Amino acid sequence: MSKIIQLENISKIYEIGDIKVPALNGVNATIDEGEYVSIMGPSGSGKSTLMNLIGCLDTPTSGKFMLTGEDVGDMTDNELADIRNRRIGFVFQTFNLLPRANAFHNVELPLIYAGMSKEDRKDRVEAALEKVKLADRMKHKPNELSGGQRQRVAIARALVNKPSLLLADEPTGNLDSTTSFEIMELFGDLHQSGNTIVVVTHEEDIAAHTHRVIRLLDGRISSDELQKPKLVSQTAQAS
Amino acid sequence: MNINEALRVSLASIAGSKLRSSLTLLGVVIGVLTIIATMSIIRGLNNLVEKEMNQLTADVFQVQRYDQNINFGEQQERKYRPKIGLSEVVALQENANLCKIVAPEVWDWGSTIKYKNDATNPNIVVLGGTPGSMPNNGYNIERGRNLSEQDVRFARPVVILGYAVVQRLFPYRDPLGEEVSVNGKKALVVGIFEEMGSVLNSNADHRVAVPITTFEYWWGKERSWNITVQVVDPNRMEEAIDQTVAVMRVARGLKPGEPNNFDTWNSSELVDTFNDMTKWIKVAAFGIAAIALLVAGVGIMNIMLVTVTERTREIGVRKALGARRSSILSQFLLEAVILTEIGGVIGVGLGIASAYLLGGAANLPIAVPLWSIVVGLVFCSVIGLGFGTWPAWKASRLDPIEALRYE
Repeated sequence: MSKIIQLENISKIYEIGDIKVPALNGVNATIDEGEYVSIMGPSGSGKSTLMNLIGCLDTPTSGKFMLTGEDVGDMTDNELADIRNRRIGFVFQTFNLLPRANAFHNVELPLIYAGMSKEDRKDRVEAALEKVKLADRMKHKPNELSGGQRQRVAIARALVNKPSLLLADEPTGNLDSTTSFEIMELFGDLHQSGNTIVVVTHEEDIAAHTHRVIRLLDGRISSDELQKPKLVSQTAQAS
Repeated sequence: MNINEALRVSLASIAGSKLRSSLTLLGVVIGVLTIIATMSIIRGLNNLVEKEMNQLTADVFQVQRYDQNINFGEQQERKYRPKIGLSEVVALQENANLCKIVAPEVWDWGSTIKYKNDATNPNIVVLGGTPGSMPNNGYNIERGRNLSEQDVRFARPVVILGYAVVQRLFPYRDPLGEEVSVNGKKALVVGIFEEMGSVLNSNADHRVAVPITTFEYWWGKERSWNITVQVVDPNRMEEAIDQTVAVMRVARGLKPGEPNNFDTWNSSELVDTFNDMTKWIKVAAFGIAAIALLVAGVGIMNIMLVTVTERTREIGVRKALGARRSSILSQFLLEAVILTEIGGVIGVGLGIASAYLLGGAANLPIAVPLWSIVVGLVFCSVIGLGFGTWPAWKASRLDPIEALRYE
């Protein structure tokens, strides 16, 4: 299995005035293709920083970060933008859909930045919305959709460019429990169909659905364990 | 970056804040309106001047004592020059073979014409001329006759009345053969001019013509003559003027190297002079427009900065999804340009409307010059680009992590 993410001795130090604040301190980890991983940790543990690095929104202070075999560490701004566009699919806690654009257009956006032709975009967007079961909501704007539907549009947007990695930051943080289960079920399905997924969360419930849990504490990995995932249907019954 | 996408986003964003956008656009609208309206009115005036001048005297030029100068800018000093008189006219008639009709004339402004107990206002122009003065000035006789050589030779007290004078003094009877008084001097009406209409508000119908000799007999010989010359061939106007200048120099005894102590001009020169004059109005209009657009530009910059701040999060999302800096930059630049161009188009519309409105009120044939529209719209784009650059640059430099976190 090919490696999607390789983190070698990653450190990230923020300089606030004269004070150096280490957010990550020698992190080593590898995530393979097809894995379903959660990154957990209390606030201040460095999980947001790690997510930003994995998402190629930021570069490490030291250490080596390879994404699908490419060294991200010394990429230019434009190269990072292209990598985010082609390799990463972001799912945010607050959905971050463009409010004035309808579902179709929101999903279309990464393809526009990828420079794809209009006809090709149409097919891809429709397929992606189909996958999240929102084919009938294409012309709706975010404020005409429920929270769960919005997050599904966001997931369609993350998937549309066929990324190597789906990166979700507290994807159920703004959703009620029923909708959360829906979304986690969707993640489960996407994992089943071969997507590599990394979920950053502080909820044990959510992490329980993943196959592997990486726990961070004070900028270091405190544990990295494989687990048998709880099926969504079981959780739903239990609650 | 995909242009359609940028266009769509820009329009949606502008539509999303209509009041704010329209307030910002006011300056752009005023600037472009000023350009279009002023240029249209000047073009209208220009067309009028050209039409009237050319119609009247396309093949005629004039010789006069002092320089033709209707320019406010450069008033030349009025050095004394000898009067022009009979000797120059005779010299031209005998020696300038490119000149067909050489007609001297003198003018008096502000005369009163009386018939019995009726009198005109003291605003009648009296032309003292010769038979040739009428065709040279483009005056046509409607009824009666022109002045004759005999009238001139014997200084007969005869007069041709302009249309407005006839209307005023002879509403119910035929003026031909009647005796009127021209500033107190009695004269027999022998002819009536055709109606001319007004040329740039100087009413060409408020005039009468008498023989030049009669004019001098009545009011003395102090005035210098103007000589109107109709050329044999309008295509050889320049040549005829050159010849005339040569003959005039000999007749006035100028030595080689001495400057001319007289001036010649024709209608195309008058048009040139008019253009010279309106040049400054154009410059002023552009000045006003430039200031308005500059102020508008600051407004555009302000609103774009606000927009960038408001949409920080959107910028973060776009960057996370793979937008390069250049995509963000061009998106916001395009938005600024579209914003100004909307103002520009409205300004063009209102400019044309107000030009026609003003032109209608002033009875001017308005013509909107295409170039003024082009210049106006290009100005707008330049303003949009110029003042949109900094906000757009700021947007493109936003850190995606910070921007995503922005509330």
